[in-house]
Amino acid sequence: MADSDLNETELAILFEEAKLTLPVDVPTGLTEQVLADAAQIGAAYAVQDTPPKAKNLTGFRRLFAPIGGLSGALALAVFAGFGLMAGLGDPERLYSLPVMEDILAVFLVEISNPTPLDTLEYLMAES
Amino acid sequence: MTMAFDTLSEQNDEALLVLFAKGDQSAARALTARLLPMVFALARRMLNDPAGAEDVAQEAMLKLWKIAPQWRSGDAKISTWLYRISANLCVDQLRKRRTVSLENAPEKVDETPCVDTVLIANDRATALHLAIAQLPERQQMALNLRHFQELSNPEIAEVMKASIEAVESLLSRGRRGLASILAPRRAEFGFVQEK
Repeated sequence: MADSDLNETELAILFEEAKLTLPVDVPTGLTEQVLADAAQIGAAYAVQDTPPKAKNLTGFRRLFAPIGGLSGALALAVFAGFGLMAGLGDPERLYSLPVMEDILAVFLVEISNPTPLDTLEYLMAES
Repeated sequence: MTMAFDTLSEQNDEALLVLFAKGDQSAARALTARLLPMVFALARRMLNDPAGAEDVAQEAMLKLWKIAPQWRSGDAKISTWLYRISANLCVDQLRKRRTVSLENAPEKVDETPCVDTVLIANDRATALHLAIAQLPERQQMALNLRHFQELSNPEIAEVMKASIEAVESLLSRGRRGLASILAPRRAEFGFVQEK
């Protein structure tokens, strides 16, 4: 009589036995090799991740470092001054600036619904 | 930058990989302790060859170290990704072995089934592993992940980049194949013949 195929229960028994019999402890040598690989590759990552060493700044340089140093502070002061002048001064005087005339013409008078290209063409024609 | 091993053991795999990508070697140790046994066990069972399994496990972990800086959160789980890499490396090894054994095949073909020739008497586990080795690669992979790594069918589907239905089909065909391959050894295994 031909052997019948194993049934599900019999296969399950074989799988359970096989799970218990085959040792799958990781060899120590393998762990060491894997860690050596990690050390080699990780060393390169550590170098990349090191932030540039901060300069020893003192006084105003240190104070203004977050806004771009002394030049950043100077630029900020100039624009703040211009803003104050524009805000506190005579609006008529502001409108009398030649560049303001052109800008106002673009947005208020000469062109309806200006696109950036319209604006550019207008300013080039004016100049 | 290095964190205490105890603290690291509470972190998930992804957080540890991020730490490793910043140069934290203790994160590598924690990941190795957690993931290497899993990778090695899969390779050991799929290849039935300790040396080959070591090669696969080392290469899979090497790929993990290399991908660390590019790992994006929200990608597959690291364990799933590693299972996929390891299983594919195992399949590559199995294919290489097959090519080599075909090239070195003797002219006279030995028709005795592999299970019979190599089987150690009454070693049912060995018989099972040899029988699994005779199945198509994807069936081997699915059976190993299901029965030895104890992954669920959806997890296997993710590892194998297949649908859950495809995994169920692979498992079903795999089990049928095993049942058929092992049928001649039924008496030796001590299983009673069904009437």
